[in-house]
Amino acid sequence: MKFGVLLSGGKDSLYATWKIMQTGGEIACFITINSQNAESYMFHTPNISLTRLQAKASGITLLEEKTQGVEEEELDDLNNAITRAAKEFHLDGIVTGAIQSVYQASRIERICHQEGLWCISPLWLCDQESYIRSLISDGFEVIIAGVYADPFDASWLGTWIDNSFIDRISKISGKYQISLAGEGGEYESFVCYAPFFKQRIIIKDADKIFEHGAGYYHVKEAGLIS
Amino acid sequence: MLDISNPVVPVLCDEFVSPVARIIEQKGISVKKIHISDLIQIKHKVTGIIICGTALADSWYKDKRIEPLVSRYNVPILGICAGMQMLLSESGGVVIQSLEIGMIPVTLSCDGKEDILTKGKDEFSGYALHQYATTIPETWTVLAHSKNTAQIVRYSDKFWYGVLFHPEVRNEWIIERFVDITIK
Repeated sequence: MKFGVLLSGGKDSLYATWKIMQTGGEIACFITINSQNAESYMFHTPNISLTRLQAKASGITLLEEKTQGVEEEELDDLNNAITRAAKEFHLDGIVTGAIQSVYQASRIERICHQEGLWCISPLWLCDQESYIRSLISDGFEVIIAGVYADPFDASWLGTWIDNSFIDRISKISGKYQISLAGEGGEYESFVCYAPFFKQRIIIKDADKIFEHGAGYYHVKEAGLIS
Repeated sequence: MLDISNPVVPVLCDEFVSPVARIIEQKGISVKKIHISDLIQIKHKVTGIIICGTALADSWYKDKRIEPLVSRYNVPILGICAGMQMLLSESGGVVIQSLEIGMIPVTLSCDGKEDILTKGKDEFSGYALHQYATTIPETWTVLAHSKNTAQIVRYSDKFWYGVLFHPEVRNEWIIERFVDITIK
């Protein structure tokens, strides 16, 4: 079956891609929604333009759609993007990286149903600690691209999701009710390398922007190396 | 745990079966996941059966039958979403179109307020993801309903339940209570 993946640039959409590939599914395209609203409920925003590098690194075509990010109206833009991708790439379904968000999942399910497409979320309700450990052991190289909750501070931005990250976040997750995978919006990530990438993304220049308890890792320059 | 999803999309087991299995395993109960096409391979002691749901677009299960499994084991059964449709359609229910997606209000009936599976939870929200339901055969009792259709049903004289919404999403208590019933 041929799928399009809703690509945010973060670990969940790319790990979902990996799981589909491992079980024999064909990924025909990535679909990225470029939201102008940093507070969007639906779409991941830090460094979204870098999904172009991820698509290039994996050799998969990227289809981009812009949205103003107005709540609910942004769903029309998502609908347009999915419709366009389905037509252009003859898709059977859409893959999402949703883990727990009923808000996101139900809206994407509705659009897929209207378009006669399958909607698959391979990480849905997964065990988050096992998932993060698999991400590392499967060779994904992921950084923290945004932090939005206590007690995260600027020191987390740009750090790798590795075993020391798991130790660090496990110590605070209970006290601050932080989900290990960041599914509550506590943090967002960016994937520099996945097992199906033919090239690796190198961040050459970046700033840590942090104020009023939230921040993001602003990548100013990045490229690909073989 | 019975997986009734289309084998062409094996990752559906991760989405619709594994989350239910994890809730049971967290209670210290061992779980075996079996695809409906492998029923002959069951060699374990069975104390309860859960027929899990599948993707909204998946209709592969519609010409499959669970009667051989149901008649082989006299144990409590829980059919979730498409699993409920299979249980009821093999008891005389007719499959009908009934689209519900997202969180929906669910209200217990008078029977539901007394049943061991549901009592004490008069009103709650359930995560619905289905485009079909069935008519309710006379041998089944409605324990809870949404605005559109029956959401939880029970076979009259057995611990056979159907839940149309997905209890593994925000209503884990239903699966935990069902497991308690299998232990009793």
